[in-house]
Amino acid sequence: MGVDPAIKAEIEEFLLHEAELLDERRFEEWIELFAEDARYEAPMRVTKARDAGPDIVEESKIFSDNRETLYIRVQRLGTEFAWAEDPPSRTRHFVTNIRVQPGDKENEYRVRCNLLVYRNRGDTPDYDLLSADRQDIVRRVDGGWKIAYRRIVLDQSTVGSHNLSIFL
Amino acid sequence: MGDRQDGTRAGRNSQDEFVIANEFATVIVRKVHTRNGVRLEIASPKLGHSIRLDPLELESLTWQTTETFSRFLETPFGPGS
Amino acid sequence: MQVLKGRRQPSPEVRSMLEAMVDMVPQGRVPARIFNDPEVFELEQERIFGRCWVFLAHESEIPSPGDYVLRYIANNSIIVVRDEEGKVRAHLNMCRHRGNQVCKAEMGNASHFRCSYHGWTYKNTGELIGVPYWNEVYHRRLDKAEWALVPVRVETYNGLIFGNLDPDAPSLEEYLGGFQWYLDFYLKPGPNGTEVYGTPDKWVADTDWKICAENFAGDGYHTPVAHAFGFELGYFPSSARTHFEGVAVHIPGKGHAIGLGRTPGMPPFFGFPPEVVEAMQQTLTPEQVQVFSQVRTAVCTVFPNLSILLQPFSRIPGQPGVRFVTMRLWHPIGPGRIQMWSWCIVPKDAPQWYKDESYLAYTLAFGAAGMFEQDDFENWTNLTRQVKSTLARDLVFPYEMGMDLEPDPTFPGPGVAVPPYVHETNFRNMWSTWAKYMLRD
Ligand code: FES
Ligand SMILES: [Fe+2]
Repeated sequence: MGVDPAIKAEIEEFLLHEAELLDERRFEEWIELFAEDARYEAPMRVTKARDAGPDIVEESKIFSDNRETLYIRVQRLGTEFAWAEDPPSRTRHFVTNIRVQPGDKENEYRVRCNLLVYRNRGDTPDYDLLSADRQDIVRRVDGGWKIAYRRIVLDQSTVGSHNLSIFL
Repeated sequence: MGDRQDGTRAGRNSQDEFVIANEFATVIVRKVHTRNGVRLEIASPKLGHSIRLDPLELESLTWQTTETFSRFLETPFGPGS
Repeated sequence: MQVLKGRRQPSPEVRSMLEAMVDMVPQGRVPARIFNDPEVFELEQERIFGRCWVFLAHESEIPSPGDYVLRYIANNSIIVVRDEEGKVRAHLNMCRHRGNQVCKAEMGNASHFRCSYHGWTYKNTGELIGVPYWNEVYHRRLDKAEWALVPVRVETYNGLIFGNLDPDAPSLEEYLGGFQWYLDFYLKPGPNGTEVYGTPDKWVADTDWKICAENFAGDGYHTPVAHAFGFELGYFPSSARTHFEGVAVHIPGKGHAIGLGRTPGMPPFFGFPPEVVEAMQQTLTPEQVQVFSQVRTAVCTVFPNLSILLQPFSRIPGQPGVRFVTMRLWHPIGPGRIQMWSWCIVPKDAPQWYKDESYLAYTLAFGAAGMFEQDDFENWTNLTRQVKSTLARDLVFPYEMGMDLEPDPTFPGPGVAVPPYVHETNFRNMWSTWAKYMLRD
């Protein structure tokens, strides 16, 4: 069962808008895009033999947030003491290869994309590149869209960044 | 959400056939039903060897020690290697 | 085993810095240069990480015969494996034939390891048992007994597996030198001890391992500033001032140190579930119970680079919360650069809800995305960048805090216990110990 191209276009637009809010550090607006029951997770990856089963360790999470703790992270960035983001990271979220499938509920869609995040700080030209398979469930709410679930599977078993004080 | 369709053999598991693998070897294990009974087939797709063991042979494996297998592995890729 | 020994000697410049530290550190001065310097890094690889007991793994990471994980000591890749008899062993992860990497997966299960280059095959005890075409190409001349995987000494304490590259090093027991008394608070929450929750967080950062190890040896001083957001959002019940109450303990000459922070009025064993509190009465001595029941924060470093933090934390500020324990290895991978390994450990006998909640508290606070961890790494990477400059390298830092404090003679634990929680007595002992190792040929 395919997804109506108009819906797909709307969802794409929604994700691009979301990325813009992150890159412009409009976190208070960004958090509003999450449903009240949303979860935001990033499981860890390990290096295993090819046939030895999945290389994702489901019980281990880099992020394991609900809407409430995600909002605490946003609030933290709003204090004067979030040293990790002061001066702030310059981020650019590249959201590509968007695939939309019907979800389990009628008003929900599974959205998978390739995420590439560029991050630079301070006066060095060095940067971090974080690549991920991002899997969302987006929900139609009052004519708009909300993220009901986000799962970020990073393409690294050792995260190549001194911290993850940014959102993915 | 997030099931892996990574094309590895780990996905081939079924009731009667499953894959056991680590980073050194991959074997396919399955029940083979003969007209009158059953054997356990262990096959190495990499090396092209396979063996069908009956319950008594399998039982005899249960009292072996690692030394038995270390001796088997003196030729690490099978006879003649 | 035939080995060729080549030992690095310090340059006259570094040697005189190290010699100066012998008097300077006890008087409260530490050279800035030690925190990011290529020569110091190279020398540490042999003189610190080549001699100390270095943390490898928690026993619960390899519970069954054949289970293995890959770890490091200095720049050596180490296979930590439970053999078929259940004994924990460690081998250099290098095939003795031409040096290929034997295990490439960071975890797995194997009774034998078969090298992917020419196929040499080893038992998980390290013995070489299979050599392809042994008759045809070696004419049976190669003596397999001579070419086992290079063994690394391992010893354990209450679930923690340590390795040592120095065959002449003292036992782990002697090395810990009484610090076990404090480790028990983390490791003996019940008759079955602890287990790791999942797999460790791993990330890299441009920071020197020593500044991290020092921070966890009892730097309660940084908390009200570096983690000020925690006070602002209501994560800490205490004000910055009461945060300083408690005691700092070190083991002289060994480098190990712990900070035990107390909050006046905190209920005994606050944040632990009743099952664990009850179990601790059995597993800990009455003296340990007397001390630890009062402790809010227990933050320690096992010299050189293993640190453990135990802390009550509620994900939502103001709620009762739980205790979480994070164990971390600051593994040096270059001058001013580490690979970070961070585990969450939980009481094995605790109810599952408590383990889960404890892990969630850990991930929100620590790990690559942890709110407290983020700020620590911000400060550590910045200072590591600063201290390598040409001006900075000749400077010293003041380590005078608490120079006039007296140890508490009534404190029941081993080592030197100096109240309160916040001062630099632990660090002076740590860097004196470090200098002693670095000066030994
Ligand atoms: S390097 Fe391992 S067999 Fe040759
Ligand atoms: Fe900190």
